[in-house]
Amino acid sequence: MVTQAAARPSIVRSAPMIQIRRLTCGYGAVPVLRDVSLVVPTGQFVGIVGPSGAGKTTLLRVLLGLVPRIQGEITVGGYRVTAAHPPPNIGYVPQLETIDWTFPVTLEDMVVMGRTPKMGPFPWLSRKDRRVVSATLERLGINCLARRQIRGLSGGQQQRAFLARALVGHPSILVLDEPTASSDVKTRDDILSLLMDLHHEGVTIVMTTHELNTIAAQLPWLVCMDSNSSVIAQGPPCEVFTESVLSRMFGTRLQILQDGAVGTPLRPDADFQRFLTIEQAERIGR
Amino acid sequence: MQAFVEPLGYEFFRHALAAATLVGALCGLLGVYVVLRRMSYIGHGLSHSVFGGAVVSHLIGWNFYLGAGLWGFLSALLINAVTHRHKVGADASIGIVTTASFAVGVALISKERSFTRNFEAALFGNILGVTTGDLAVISSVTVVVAAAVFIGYKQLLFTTFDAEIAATYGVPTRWVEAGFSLALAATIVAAMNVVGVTLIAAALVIPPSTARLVTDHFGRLLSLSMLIGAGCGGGGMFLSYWYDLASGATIVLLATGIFGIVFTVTHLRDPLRRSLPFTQL
Repeated sequence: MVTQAAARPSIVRSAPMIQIRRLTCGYGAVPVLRDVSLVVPTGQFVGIVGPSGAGKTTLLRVLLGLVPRIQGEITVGGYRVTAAHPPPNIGYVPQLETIDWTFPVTLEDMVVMGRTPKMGPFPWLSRKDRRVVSATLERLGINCLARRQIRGLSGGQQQRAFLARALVGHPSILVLDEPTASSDVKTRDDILSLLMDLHHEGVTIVMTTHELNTIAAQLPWLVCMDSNSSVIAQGPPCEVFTESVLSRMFGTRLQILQDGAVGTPLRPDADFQRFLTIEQAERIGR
Repeated sequence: MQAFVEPLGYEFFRHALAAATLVGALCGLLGVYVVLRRMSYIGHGLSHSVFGGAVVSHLIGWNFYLGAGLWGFLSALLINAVTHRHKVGADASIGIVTTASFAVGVALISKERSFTRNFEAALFGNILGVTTGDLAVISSVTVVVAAAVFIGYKQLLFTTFDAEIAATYGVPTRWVEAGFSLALAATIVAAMNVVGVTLIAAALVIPPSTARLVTDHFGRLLSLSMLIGAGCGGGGMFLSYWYDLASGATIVLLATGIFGIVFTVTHLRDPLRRSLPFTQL
């Protein structure tokens, strides 16, 4: 399913918003990422794909200053990122299981947290804060759930709540770690549509995803990582989703289903899977 | 009525009542953050650590509150630092730092046996000996900590909810955690005379745990926990006077009794809560 937002032209500027130069980082003595370089232009929408354990989440956390740097340099929005100096004006959507959902706060309380640095010294919301929070909840379609305890939210609602918390501070960069994981089709499409809208508004977006068929194939730019945590290809999906890259990425042979009429990979709005392992392809007689 | 009025005729009881109520409210307030951070053991550990500081400050002739407070604050910072090394969990960090600190106090006491009796008061509380000066310190700590929690409410809430993410959103989490450690150390020092080292953990943990059983709203949790803490402090003082029991122990037993009743009632009434493991509450 392709959203209308995806059909509009994007406004990618040439100036880089994110620059990673020859970065090696990790926890303790063992590096997780080795000698990784990456440039993300301002306003770009980048998807990071790769097998489990490839270091996708670590790459995202690097941008936030959450992973100790061994060597190399990271700049985000012109700021040199270190553990003591996370980049300003960034919205982060972590994986759902990273927090305690039994914590006694409402959805609105959690969303307001994303605005903490911009609020006054008092515990209560100003009129402007209230307006911004309400508009953000409305945009995510969860205004009616504002007073609900977070432990009473479904998985899809929790994803939207995280997104609302990231957006309520009007970030210029959005970093998302599998924002559509375990979502139903409707939630997944709504989230992708919203992200496309934000991309067209000029927000730089970097997200990880495991969903090659339904998410990654629709993104403007992809960064492919293999199990050695190396960036093996980057570019638009039509360029990087080749059998060679996919097979290197996942360490198994993959087949791309072709459109019978024109011989090109199936269109991104195809309802079914376009990338199959050889075993799957044989099973369905392709 | 006479039973309530009679003890109020004594100055020592009025002091003790005010101290127990203030300390109960203060522990109830900070205890919410302690319990939600799953660091209930820190109250127990820091109180023991502060005991070591109290002995050292006595030996070098420092003011008790200053020496013990500083020692407690440094211990809390050390616990945070060790915890952030990832390979050592918070529970182990608390165990290492605080028991070592307590051992310093015990070792020094065994060396200088002359002042053993003074430190029994620190271990088990000496609420009936609360002076006007002690009361002034307890009041000041209560006002300052409550004001700090009010002003830093949003930052403290976000840091308690998820410190790592809060940092990425621009919350100065290291300062927030240092401030919280300072407030906790000050609270424990202020509470030492009231409930004693051995019972401070209960004063920090039982009121918020009781309040958590009846509300899922963070603001109400804070208010209710303070109310329960203050009520148990004041109520415990009257009970200890009427039945001639140790005041610190009576306060803790009253709080435990209320927790038991609330737990039983909510457990029977609310099937949703019954399905949750107790540790999640």
